Amino acid sequence: MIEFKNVSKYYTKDYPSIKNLNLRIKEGEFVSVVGKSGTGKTTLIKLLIADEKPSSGEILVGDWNISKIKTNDVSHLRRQIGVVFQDFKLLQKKTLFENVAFALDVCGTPRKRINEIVPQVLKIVGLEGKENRYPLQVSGGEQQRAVVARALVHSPKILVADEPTGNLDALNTKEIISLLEKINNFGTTVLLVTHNKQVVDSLKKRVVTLNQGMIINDVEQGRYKIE
Amino acid sequence: MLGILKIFKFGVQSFARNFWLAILTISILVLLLLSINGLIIINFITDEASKVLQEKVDVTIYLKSDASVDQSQSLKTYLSNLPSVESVEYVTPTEALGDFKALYKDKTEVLDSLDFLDSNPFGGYLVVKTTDVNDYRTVLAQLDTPVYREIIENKDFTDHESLINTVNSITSYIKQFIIAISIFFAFIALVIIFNTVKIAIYTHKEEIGIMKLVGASNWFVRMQFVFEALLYSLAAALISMILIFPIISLVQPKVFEFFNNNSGNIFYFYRQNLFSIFAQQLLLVSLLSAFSASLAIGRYLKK
Repeated sequence: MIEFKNVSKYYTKDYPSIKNLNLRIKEGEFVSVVGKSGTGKTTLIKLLIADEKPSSGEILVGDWNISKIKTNDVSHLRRQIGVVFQDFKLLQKKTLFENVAFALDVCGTPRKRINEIVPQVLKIVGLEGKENRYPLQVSGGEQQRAVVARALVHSPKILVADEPTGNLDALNTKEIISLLEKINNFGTTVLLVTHNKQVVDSLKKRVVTLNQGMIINDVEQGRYKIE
Repeated sequence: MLGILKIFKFGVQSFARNFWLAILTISILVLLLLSINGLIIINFITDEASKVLQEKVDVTIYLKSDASVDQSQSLKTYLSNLPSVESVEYVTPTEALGDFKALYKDKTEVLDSLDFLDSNPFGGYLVVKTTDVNDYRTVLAQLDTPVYREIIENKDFTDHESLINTVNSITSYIKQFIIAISIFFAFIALVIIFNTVKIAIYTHKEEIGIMKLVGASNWFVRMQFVFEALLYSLAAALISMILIFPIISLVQPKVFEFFNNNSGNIFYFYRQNLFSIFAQQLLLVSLLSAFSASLAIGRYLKK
């Protein structure tokens, strides 16, 4: 499903953010990526969504080699990979419904289809009845659910979450992680980048640990362990 | 088709959200277009002045007094058949004498001097008008044959030519100046639209970031800004066309005065060419806007 083959990324000449990284993620897997700050976790995600290009190596998504993806093809890739960030990235002047619909609107989806899809995904993330509220009128957890809903509207095969619980309290964290597990159970591959030890340990899923841009640990049903 | 409709929708939304920025940009574009209209009017007045002058120009071919009527008529027919000749008027020696007498009817000493001559001293002459003032020299050159040289007393175009050359030269300088000023204005328009789009991009930075994140194509993002710039252009072209008529009404009396009410009707010129002037200005400012907006957003999308 996703394969990093000997991938390196240099932002500066001498210091690699990712170095000779090899990682293979199977379809439907739930993988947590952990590591100290500055170990290349976010770079890994940026490479996967083609926000950055690798300095060397190959990245495969399905059969698609995205290492040298053309600018015009990036949008097609992004429709196959849903992305959730710590800072939500919701438009404050739009309601939750409009925020979720926005992802379809800018891709040219007809209004009728939007009106069918958006209520469905809002139901999946548990935001029924709150669709007409603005981001500031709901809790952080609900904002993050709306972001997850937005990431799901294109029915992506992969969902990438970069510190999705970083701004949430314990209760909301638990709910968001449960939501990600639910989405994973539907068959979506989930790549979770987190610092939260409790989350990783409770998941009992595969854990990849990064250090200085390299994988130092990759364990099925692993635990959060950083030396 | 649906994508284009969505682009229109987002473009109009952006236009409305940046209302004051839009007003400012449109105002500057209107000023630029009014300046260009000013240049069009100057060009029109120059052309009119040149046309009036050229209409007044003709060339007179004086025939020898011994040239027969048949020879004169033959020359007239020859000239009339030349494609560049608009009209030829033949004045016979008798008519020439009559004209002379009429001219000096109050000067008896001049008229008395004619009595000392045995015959009519005047030859006939031909007044030739060509369709284009630049054809006179060619026409006169075609008379430089032994047959016609024998009956032609004098044919001179030098004075007219020098005047016309001076007017043509001034007109040409004015046109070059207009082109240079237009290029300068085009450059200003380019910079203004570029900056407007840059500001619009800055204010919509978060929205554009999310658009790209959720899979909007670069084309979609680019085209909504291009469309927004096209809206500025359309509004500016319409407003400048509305404003130009009161401005013309201020200038028109002076222009009529200059041409003695015989020429220089700017209103008529605008009414006759309204669609073409509007279309050309809209096309020009739209191309500049589209190019400029595309350049501004292109730099952002490459990041």
